[in-house]
Amino acid sequence: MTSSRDDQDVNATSTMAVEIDRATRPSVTPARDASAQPLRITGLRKSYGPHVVLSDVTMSLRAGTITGLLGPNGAGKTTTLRAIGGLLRPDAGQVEIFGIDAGTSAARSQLGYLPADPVFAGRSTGAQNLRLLRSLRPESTVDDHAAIAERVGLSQKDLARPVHDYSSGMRQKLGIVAALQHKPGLIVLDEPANRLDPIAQRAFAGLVRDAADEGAAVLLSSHLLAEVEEICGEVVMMSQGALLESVRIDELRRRAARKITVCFDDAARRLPGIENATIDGATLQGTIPARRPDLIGSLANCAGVTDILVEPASLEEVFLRMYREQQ
Amino acid sequence: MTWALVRDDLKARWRSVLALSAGVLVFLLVLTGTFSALGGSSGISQSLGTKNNRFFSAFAGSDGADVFSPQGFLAFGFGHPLFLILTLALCVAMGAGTLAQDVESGRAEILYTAPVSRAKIVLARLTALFCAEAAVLVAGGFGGVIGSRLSPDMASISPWVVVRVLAQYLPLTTFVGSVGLLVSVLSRSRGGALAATSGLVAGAYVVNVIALLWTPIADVRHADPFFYFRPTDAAGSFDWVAAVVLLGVAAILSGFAFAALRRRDLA
Repeated sequence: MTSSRDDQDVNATSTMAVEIDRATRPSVTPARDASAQPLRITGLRKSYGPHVVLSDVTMSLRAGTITGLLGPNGAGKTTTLRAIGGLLRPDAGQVEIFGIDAGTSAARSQLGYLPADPVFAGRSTGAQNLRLLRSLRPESTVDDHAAIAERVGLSQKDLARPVHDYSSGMRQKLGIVAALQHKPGLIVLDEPANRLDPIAQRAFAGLVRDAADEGAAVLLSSHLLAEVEEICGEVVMMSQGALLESVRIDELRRRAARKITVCFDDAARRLPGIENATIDGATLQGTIPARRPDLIGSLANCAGVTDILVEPASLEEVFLRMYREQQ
Repeated sequence: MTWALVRDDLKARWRSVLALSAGVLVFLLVLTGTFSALGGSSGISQSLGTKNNRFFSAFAGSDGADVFSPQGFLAFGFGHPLFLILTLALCVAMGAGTLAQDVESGRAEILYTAPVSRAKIVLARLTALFCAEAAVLVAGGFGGVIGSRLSPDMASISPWVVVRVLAQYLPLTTFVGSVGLLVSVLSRSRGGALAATSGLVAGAYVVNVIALLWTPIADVRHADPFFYFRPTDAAGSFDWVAAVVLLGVAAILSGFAFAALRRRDLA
């Protein structure tokens, strides 16, 4: 994972990506350049009239990684994903899928794409819609739709119904099946867990992990930070059309301030190094800055301290703090 | 050619295609089938007034043709405003919906991220349009032929007259389809594309009729697509020049549409 903002940091943090021998991935067709990156975006710019939506976005994905694309509304996440899908013509820059320009059908043969609100032919059944989409990939011999549908909770009976009878959650499930049924090498998902029930969300997370284990690179945008935290190994933060940072989730947590609760045998008192401290009887609550990892050890030796509880920062807290700082 | 998309499009529209086909068949069947029952040439011209021949001739797209003769009346059916509305409505709706509908609904995000070129998907849509339009015209042709057999005054008219008129009509539908395609590619909403295409087609028809009735602007007709479809003339002989002009302009408009399609955003 690389970003134009902080190449050095990114190179350091992107080492967690699991290198999978793509040749072991079961019969993914058509053949792709195994040496090429699943996704490489260079200097991507897009504007609508005077409104700049993306400015100089540069990033890449490696095989076997799951990356979350985070940002507030209007940050440019969906525009980035649409550019990857070849739906938008960039003003400048390049989007390459396995080394091929994303605007070409050859590149899209490696792509599994789920839009934020998937729309299908309403009068056709789910199965007919999936069949139509498979027929647009005549070179692909892989057909995993039955297994994937079963995993997300879309039965054969459901697939035999017209799509206009589907609930929004069922349409989302059908979209997931459509995006994954041909075992693509690059999977791009826009708000994938939207409208999914908790059981389907869990199944979806398993599907994405399995796809990554088989060597696919996954990029998903989501506002469900718990979902990102659970599934993704890395996150890319966007704001106002630009990449802010690209970082591993554990690295992000390590860098974030952690919540600390210190219990005393008597009345609590303020301790040096603990920020945002509040005292309630014998309990002190506050945060430990990321730059002071040594603080916990020294607190343990303080007189009167009976217990110390340190909670890792959630992605939500990190996310909110980062965007507050930006603003 | 992505035939699966053609089938998909036709499947989505078979009800409207069937309804329009039935409507066109019944309309031409009744119009031509009652010709003799209404008194034939003399009876109809007397009841409508012979002075109105020019007026009716203009509505049939011709300049002074005798629309009350058996062959003229049969051909008039294929230039009647109701026939044009029924048949061109499909062209306008499908042509204008070629791309704008998918973009507006969001279905483009599913279809156009498949490994198929944009042009192939649009070509599939146009093929579906052609098949649907052909079905409606064939139904109209059957209506005209069967109706003419029911009217003794028309019984001697060769079915080839109907075939010739419909063949002359095909370039006009192709032209309208290409206008719809171009407008669709340049639009973001199906409603806007539909309104613009309908307006252009209806405007062209009205201008042609007015130019036929008001001689000072008669030359304007040469720039009007409806000038190149004169059913009463086509009943006599196929006008190759008119067909080539309409198909040529349709090809140029389609060329612009496909060039714009390559560059435009689909979401």
